[in-house]
Amino acid sequence: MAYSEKLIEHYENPRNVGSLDKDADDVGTGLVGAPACGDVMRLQIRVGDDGVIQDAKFKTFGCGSAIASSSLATEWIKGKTIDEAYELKNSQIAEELSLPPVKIHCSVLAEDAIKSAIEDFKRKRAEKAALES
Amino acid sequence: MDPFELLQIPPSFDLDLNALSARHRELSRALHPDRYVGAPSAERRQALGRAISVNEAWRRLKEPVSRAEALCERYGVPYGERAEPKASPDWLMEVMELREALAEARRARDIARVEQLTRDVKAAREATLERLTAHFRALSGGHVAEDSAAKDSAADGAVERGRGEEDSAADGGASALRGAVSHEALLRELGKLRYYRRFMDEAGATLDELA
Repeated sequence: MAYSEKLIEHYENPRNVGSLDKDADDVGTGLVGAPACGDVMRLQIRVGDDGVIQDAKFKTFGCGSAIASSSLATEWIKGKTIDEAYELKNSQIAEELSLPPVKIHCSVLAEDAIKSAIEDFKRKRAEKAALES
Repeated sequence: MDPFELLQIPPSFDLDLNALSARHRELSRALHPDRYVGAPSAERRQALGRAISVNEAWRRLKEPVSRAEALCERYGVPYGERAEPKASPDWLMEVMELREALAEARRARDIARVEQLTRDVKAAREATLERLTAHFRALSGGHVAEDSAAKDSAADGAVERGRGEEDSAADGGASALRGAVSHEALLRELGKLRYYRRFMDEAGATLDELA
């Protein structure tokens, strides 16, 4: 199967690998995957008071397409507001990386990871607000 | 054909592996081509065909994942990739931690750590095997397993609700809900078993590499 150059580039030089402190107030963590086949993806965002994503990190165990999808996802959402990032569609990732049809689910995983990281952040923010009020 | 019927052993998940092997040997001996020398060719072919099916059935039943799948087929529980319930956050966390720990131990060439992880996963796998035994026992007709398996599944269901898909099931009355929920719990355990098998393979390969 022929993979696109962009995909191979992200796989060989993944951006933003690592982790952020999951207990920090300004960090949201998304953990998604299909563990039966061993795929698991963690995507974390650090969000400023203005709602802009200042930093994003990921750690993915899975195939090259899953790694490339999460690498690209972190690159794209940095500098975006959480509302903008929430709108990111898996099809945009799939298109950018020219994912073959059998690997589309990897981009779905990346989209789910972004959304669940944002939801985690919002939940934390709401809890903090509730405590302060 | 159902491998339990083929080997004529009572269907259960926690079957006696020694008895299974003994039955396999016995049937293989009875169907061995040497016994059919001089028999009409149709009969010989039939015996050979049965011998192949018996081998296949034995292979399916001796390995826990494929045995669970055979039982799912028997009881009409869909178990394919599409049927797999969304992983719970706790389970995803466990998988992530296991994979990170193994990768870290591999990087550090820490054989003792890999062996410890293997032991931990073996223990977790045993617990999963027990829960699967209870689930399949419940499916086999006895409603005895109102015990821990049912409680586990109710808890799992509660965690996962709000993910959307289970909500409609909740409207379908208590008994329908129980059916759906317990299949979901069973499939979750089966998913864990698959992952543990995978982890053991990877840990084994890592140990070979570090040796």
